[in-house]
Amino acid sequence: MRSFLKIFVYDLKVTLRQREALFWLLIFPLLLMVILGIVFGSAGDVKLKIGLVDLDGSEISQAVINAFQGIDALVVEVGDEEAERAALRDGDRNGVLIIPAGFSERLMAGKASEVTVIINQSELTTAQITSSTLRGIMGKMEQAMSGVPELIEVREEEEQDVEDFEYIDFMIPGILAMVIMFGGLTGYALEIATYREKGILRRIKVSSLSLPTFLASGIASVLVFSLLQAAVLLAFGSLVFKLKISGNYLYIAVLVLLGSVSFLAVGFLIASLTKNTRSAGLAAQAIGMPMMFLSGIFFSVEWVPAPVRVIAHCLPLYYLGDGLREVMINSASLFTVWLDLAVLGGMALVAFAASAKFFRWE
Amino acid sequence: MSAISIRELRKYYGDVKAVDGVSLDVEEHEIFGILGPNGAGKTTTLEMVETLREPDAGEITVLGLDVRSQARAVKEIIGVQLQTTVFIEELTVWETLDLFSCFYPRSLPVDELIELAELKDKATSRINELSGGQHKRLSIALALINDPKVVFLDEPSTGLDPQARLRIWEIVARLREQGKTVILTTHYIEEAERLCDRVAIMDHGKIIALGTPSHLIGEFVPESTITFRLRPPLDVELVSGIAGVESAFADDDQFHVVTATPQETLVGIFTLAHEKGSEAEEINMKRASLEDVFLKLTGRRIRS
Repeated sequence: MRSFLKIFVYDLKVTLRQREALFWLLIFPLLLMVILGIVFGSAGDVKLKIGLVDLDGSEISQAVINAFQGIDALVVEVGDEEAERAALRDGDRNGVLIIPAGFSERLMAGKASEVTVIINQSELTTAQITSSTLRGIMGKMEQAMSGVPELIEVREEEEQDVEDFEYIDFMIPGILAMVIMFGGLTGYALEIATYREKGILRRIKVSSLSLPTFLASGIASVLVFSLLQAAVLLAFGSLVFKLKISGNYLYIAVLVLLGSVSFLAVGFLIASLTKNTRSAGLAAQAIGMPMMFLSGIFFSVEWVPAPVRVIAHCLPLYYLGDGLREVMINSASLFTVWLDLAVLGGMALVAFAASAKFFRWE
Repeated sequence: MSAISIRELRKYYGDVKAVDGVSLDVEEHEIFGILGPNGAGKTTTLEMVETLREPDAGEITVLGLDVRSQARAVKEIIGVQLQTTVFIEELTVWETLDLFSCFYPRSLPVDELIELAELKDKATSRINELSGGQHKRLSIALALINDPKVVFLDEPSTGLDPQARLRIWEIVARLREQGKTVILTTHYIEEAERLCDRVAIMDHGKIIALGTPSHLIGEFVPESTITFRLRPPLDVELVSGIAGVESAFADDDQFHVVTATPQETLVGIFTLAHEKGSEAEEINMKRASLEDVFLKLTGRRIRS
């Protein structure tokens, strides 16, 4: 037990000291999540970026700018005309509004005054929204200045209890499954392959420690680390993308641990069957990559052609992704996801048995 | 009881007879060397004793314990330095020793090992910051972690510069003081001669000679070479006639003679010089080495 704990602690220490591995295990999934989240996830949440050019420089034009800056849904930049037009051409602005010189004088004199609005037309929907937003705001201001009462008042009611699952809620359990898979295939299994290559396993063989004890503490540290990965991923998802986890955390942990063990077993098998660490790494990538794309990690397999769907149902990663998604989003119980658990558990048993058979000390 | 007893040990790899009928006994508290060229079977022999390799045939006991049927008990009383162990890069020297100490039911304090291996100022350094010599010393410290009765050192100083080699020898000398039995392999003549009480010379999987270094030299190459100058030089014929001289060779006023009875020959040299009015100067006597023994037995040099 003393040796079990000590090896466990040192294994965690070694993992935490591998800077590069930490990047791939912890930071990269977060980056991937951010990228996917921005590209596919939250189109409804995008803020319009408006450039304001004040050629008038009066108190009134300043008041207009202040009014714009007070609107939460807009990101407002104030600059000179040339710079703002250039920013718009670069796609950095959804629209630019130019307040002409003499704007306030004409207003004071009671004359009609015009402002110029340039809209970024590259995306039609956004262009429409930008245009009507700018018109709406200017209309409101005009109304306020001219003191004409509003005839129709819009009353807003907020409905909080909406059952909407966005892409992000689908994608995050998928990314978690992917991270667990790659962690299992390439992490500790490759570490052991390295130990074999460097002769560390032989050094352990001549000591009185039993190999099962050594491996068990290593696996325990892998499991603890995978829980940590899951926690970081889900916490990040909740904070940044308002991920809604409606399932039981204990069930999530069970799936994370089982997924981790079963892909680790496959990783061991790969490491036992390949000649050295390098080829083990390549083999793990070759197995992991297609699984990542075909198992409904980033998009539901319901959307793909039937033959691909059949392939997906043959891949173990599909079952981990499915189980995590069911438990996290649909509040499923472990009983409901029995098939996922059975597939992962079965794979763990078969792969561990096979890697025990093919294990090599050197 | 012998510390190690090996009987008719064999290990074949296909047609290659890596170890071909080796028998030997290592006494307790002895520093025993296995000397031989690369590929002689030294490491394979050692690894079978260390429980790392399964012999094809033969018996091995360590302090009376059978290596095959009592492997676990053997592992507890032996300490092994492997020829090539690379450690876990992410750990420091102290952590490496601490980690390995939990591989045994009983272990020495890490600080004591660090002291013995002279790694005090490197205790908190990562493995990849160590020099070759420091790396070897750490691997020796690891071999001592369970306070073993029998220590195996496989080429402990190979690849090290003379300075670093000397520090390894100091550590081995300390092991002798502690009363440990040490069995080491080497292809350095000087290492075998300086460190070992007894040496087995191995070639092509067989032991071709066994004994104390001076016994081996006395038995196989008893001749010494004496080099000296005679001023003025004398005829080489006269020098060849000196008592005990087996062969003589002159190079201007410098003479080389080979003799099995150096004392007699030295007296003869002085007597001859005195009689002929010549002066004998710069007298050097060189005994044969284990290298000469190996040369004599195999017709080859150990390090070719």
